[in-house]
Amino acid sequence: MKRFKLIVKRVVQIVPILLIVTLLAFFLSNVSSGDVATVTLQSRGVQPTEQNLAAVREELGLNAPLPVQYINWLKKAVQFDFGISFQTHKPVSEEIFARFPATLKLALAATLMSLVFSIPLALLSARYKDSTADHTIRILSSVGATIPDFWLGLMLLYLFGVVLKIVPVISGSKLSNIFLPAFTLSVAYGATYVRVLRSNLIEVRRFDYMKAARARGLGEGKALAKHGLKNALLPMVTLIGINFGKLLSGQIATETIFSWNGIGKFAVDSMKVKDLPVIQGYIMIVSITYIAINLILDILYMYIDPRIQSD
Amino acid sequence: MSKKTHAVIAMALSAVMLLSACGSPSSAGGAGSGKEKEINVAIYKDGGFDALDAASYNGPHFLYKMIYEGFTEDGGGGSILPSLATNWDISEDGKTYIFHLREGVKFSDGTDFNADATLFNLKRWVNDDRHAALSSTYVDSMEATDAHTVKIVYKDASYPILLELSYPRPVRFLSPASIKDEKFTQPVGTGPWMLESYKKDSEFTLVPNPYYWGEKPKIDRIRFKVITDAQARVMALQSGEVDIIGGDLVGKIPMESLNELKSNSDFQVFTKGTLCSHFIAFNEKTAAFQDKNVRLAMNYAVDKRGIAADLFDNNGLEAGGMYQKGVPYTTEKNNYGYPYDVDRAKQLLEESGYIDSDGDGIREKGGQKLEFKLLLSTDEFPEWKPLSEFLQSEFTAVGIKINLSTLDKNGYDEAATDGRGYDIALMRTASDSWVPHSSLRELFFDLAGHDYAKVWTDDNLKSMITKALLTMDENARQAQYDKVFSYISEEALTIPVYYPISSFAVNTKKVANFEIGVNNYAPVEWSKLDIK
Repeated sequence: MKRFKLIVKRVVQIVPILLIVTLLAFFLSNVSSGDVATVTLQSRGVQPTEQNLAAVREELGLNAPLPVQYINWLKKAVQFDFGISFQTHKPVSEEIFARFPATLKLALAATLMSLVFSIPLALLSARYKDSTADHTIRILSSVGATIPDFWLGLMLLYLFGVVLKIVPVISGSKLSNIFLPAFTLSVAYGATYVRVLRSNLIEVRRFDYMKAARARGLGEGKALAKHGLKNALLPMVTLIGINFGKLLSGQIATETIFSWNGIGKFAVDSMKVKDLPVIQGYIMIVSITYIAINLILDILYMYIDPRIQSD
Repeated sequence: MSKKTHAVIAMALSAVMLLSACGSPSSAGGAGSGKEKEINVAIYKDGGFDALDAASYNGPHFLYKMIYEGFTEDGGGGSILPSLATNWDISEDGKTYIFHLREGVKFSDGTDFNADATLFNLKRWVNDDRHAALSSTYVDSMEATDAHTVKIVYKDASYPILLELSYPRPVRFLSPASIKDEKFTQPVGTGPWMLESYKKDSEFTLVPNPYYWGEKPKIDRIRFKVITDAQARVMALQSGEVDIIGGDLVGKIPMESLNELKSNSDFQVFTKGTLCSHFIAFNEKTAAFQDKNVRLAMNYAVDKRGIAADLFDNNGLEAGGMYQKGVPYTTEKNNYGYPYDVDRAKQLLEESGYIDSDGDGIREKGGQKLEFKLLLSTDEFPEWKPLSEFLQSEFTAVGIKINLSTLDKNGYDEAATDGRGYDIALMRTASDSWVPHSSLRELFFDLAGHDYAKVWTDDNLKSMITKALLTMDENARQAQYDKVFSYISEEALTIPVYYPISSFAVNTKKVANFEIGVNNYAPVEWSKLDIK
């Protein structure tokens, strides 16, 4: 019962947060630099004049006072209707959800890949702390965490697409071409995971259950992998979850370089031309995703670590 | 060699062939295979075909010209070519136009193009304030006098009407059958190409229109592949996934990649001057710029040849006058710049009383230092970053301090109009069919909602431009334009710094007869393209 109450409390807390997000999404996108009608005309390749500016304001529904526009927008937004894109003339939610699967695939692949290479490396590093292998891994993870994704992406694309010709330069959002963009993204996240996991592993080595494992005759490596890893990974669930949310909001550089049509690329293109309905819809959908992930993490923790509900 | 080795080699070879065939299905149809001739072109954004209504402003400009046609076509250099109108009569007062339509023309869906289809299209955009930048939108009356003649009476006489009617949009003709329940369904025009397939944000193919009245394209298909990133476009050319990259409105080649492509014998780089020029505008509200000597001195202070040759590795042309050569009505005599002459610049500033009295390297007069804020944005032209830094050093050399203010595109546009929070700003002129008439209007007429112009407010200049726009006689108009351009040059109203060029890189192993088109709206002579 206690758990259930806690969950309800968490869900109720979301309402004011969402309301604040709607305010920010709506007003910040409106006050950002550039007059919407002028930018829209320029994006169409038309010189703004007094008449066509007035006509476009009418067409885009920009004549009402901002608070009135906000209320009208909010009424529809609660039903996931964010209006019609100024640029594509299609419903915003349709446009975003059409691109969401591509971003989701990439986020899943990148998260998976970052875990696949960070866990063995962290184990190795922690097991042989202060060895050459440990130092090498630590240097590599520092480099990996700081390397800009656009640079890495271009280099990988040049090497595998142009020099070796084993992957197409135009990935076209095809699953068979997901390896390079996912790898590009996984490097920075994976490198961070190696560092965090390594220090977690080193810390758990001191605990009694590890001593017990060793006393039972398990080797240091086996004890770490079997008993230490589970406990060292636990605190990382939040980090991985938040990073997954970040990945779901779209990865502009990677999506652009690899011609991967996700929502990040779409959002940035829309920001350049002040396509307000898209920007607002994007902020809302990304915020909701973030909030949902946080909620799921909270609930998850209650089950993973029963101590949490007593707090 | 043993039989076994032969067998292994044969197997390996066939495996490689099989793999390579799987890997690149689109490269089929190449050299003399007898299959369909297909060329792949990189494009930086989606074609927007689900809304590519002839009367809309949705997809890339040049696609409108491939699919749709208008009354006239822009022949470049100010010449107007007949298109769906074979000829026309204009009344004495310049208001009534009678267009004689080409007979036997069909839309690519097989329906007839005639006076009814013409009026159907015109009614969709005339007298609509959304097109207020065009004088041809304001129509008094229009009627079909017979099946192939249309008479239009415009509200005002204006010589650019025929030119406007050659624009990519909204003046072109869509098959009336493409409008169902007042909604656009598919892009069907009378032009040389028609849409075959469209995968949003990914690729689309155009094939020759079987009913086209003019010269038929030589290839069977153009496949446009959407690649947003400029470096990725270069790589797609290098990997053979596309055969043509480049073009300002198709997908620019980054300046740093041009030299690399030039040195690679697999590709050929084609360049052509554009009708655009990059220049520095003075904010007339900054008191120092009311002094012509200051404006002149700043013109003399800039090494225009150095910018084109050294800074940009000759991937551009040395600036002369405010407008690039080839812009209609400009001549060597009326459109000129000032040579690079540091001594002359210093002398002019001294004549006006600007002297560095406190030895800080900056000239001043009456306590007022020559220190200016240079506004720019690197979103549209990344090369403006090195350019602005170069300009900064050029002006420092004559005792003028420049502080750079780099904003995003929207912030820049806002500052360049509403805020005027700058002393000098890097700007570009319009290009293509918009020069000089629309460009002059844009830069020297009052901005919408303001009592000042974007570049320089001068009533004398305004009235000269207005006169030129209203002059219907060709010779008299040239004389009027002479006055306009001479005034801009003589008064040093801007500092022309650089003329950009349009460039393409082509896989010459595969593509034959590549030719750059008349302007960005017709970037490539698509119909002439062939395969080797």
